[in-house]
Amino acid sequence: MAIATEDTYLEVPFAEKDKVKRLKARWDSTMTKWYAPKGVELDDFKEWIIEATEGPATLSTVIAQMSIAISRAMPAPQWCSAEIAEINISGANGYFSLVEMDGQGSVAAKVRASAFGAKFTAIRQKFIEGVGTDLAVGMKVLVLVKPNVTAKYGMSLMIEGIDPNYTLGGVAAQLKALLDRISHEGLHQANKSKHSPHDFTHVAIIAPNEAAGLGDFWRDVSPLQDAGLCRFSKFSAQFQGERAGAEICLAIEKATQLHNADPLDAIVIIRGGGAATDLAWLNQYDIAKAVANAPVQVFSGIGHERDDTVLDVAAGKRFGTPSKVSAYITSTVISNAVKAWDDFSNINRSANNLIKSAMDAANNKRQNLLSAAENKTHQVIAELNGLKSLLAFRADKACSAAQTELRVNLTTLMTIDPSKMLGRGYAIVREGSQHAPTKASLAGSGVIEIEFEDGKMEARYGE
Amino acid sequence: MASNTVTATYVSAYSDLTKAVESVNNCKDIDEVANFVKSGVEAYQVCKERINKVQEMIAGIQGEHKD
Repeated sequence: MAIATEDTYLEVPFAEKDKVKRLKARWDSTMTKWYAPKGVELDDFKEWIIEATEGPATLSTVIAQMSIAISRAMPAPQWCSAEIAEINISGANGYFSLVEMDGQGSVAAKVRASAFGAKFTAIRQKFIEGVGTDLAVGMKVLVLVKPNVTAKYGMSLMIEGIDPNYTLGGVAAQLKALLDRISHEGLHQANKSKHSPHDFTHVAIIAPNEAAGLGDFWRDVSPLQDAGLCRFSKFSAQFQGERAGAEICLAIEKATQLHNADPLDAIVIIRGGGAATDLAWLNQYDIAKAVANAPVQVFSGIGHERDDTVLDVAAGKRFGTPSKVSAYITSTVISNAVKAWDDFSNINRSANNLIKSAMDAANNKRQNLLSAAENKTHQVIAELNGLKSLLAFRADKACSAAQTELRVNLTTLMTIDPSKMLGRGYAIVREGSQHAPTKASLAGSGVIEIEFEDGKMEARYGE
Repeated sequence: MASNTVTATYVSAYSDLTKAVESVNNCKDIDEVANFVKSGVEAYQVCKERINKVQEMIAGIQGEHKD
């Protein structure tokens, strides 16, 4: 009775596999060999035990022994970090070349690795969902591997899993470094500081060749173009793949040349849908620099609301989708015109109201003036009538007084009438034509006339 | 760097219209109204064609929706 003190590999023909399986043999998928596990009765497997042969061992035997040794040294899969130096995805299988770089950028270690079928499909899908982009050359990855030594292909690693969080961290760190550089150089603010357009008559559109995903955008803006309100000049560029950055930069350059001849209000960069994983192609320094140097504000609408790309960061205005860009342009044009119309209508209305108010005020004033004038006239007439009455009264009074005085005077006059006085014994003395009421008034002619009631006579006087 | 003078002309006219309506609304002296109305009318003349085009475009879109 010999109990196996270690795993013992067996040479089992295919037809006999069920037999060894029943005897508790196990299958090593890496070595593609059955083995009697430690602790079983070896005698049961005597006919399949690989006996040491005389002379030199065969290559396959050595590789098998290597495989056993490696399996024992590394019985379970192990996580390791590496960089993808090469990748070849063929159908549902993935073939990689993984490397470790030293501090000087030289290859310190290199190994082939692979994953197959449903396992690789699941690993790849999980990676894309986690990182947001597909496995690619240059990526740093954390892979769960186990050794794989076969007689035909030698030493390689079987990939059991890839941790997307590790790569995501690397991608995020790379993106952060890029954003830091853009921020440090002021590229994130340069385009935002450009004049923000308040209306649109000419806009450049940079979009992928395939217009399928841009249907909504063109449907929204075509009424503006058809009405002659705004022109849209289109420039095509790839938005994914190695050429994406260069083509987008070239399109911005062409739009700049157009601007110099036929000025633009804005440059719109839109992507009509597509995988979120392809956004990584827009995270390029050159794109940020081209956007920063653009002569007018750049609007981004690359169809992804959640994640900011370098293009979004550098753009003057970030819109999540092409539809939002078209809505902004259309609503700006319409709202400006509607407001202008409202303003003009308001001017008419306000001016009319103002004129009407002024006319009402003038009419009121006129009415007030008329009333005041009428009142004044009545007042003056009343005063005049008063004066007239007073005048009449005073005149009457004065007349009465005059009549009385006249009567008195007349009586007096009557009393002192010379004829009456002559009748009472008085005489009138005249010298020539002058009365001589006194001796002193005599002129010295020596002749005077004396008038009596009944006639006149001359008299002579002397010393 | 060149700028779009066509757009700038419309934007300036829109701004003048807004200023004119504010001036008319705040106007206390009837003698000044004529000047504000005049500047508003001049601004309107600049953007009248564009306003008409927008009205026609909106009418067209509303017509499409009715159809």
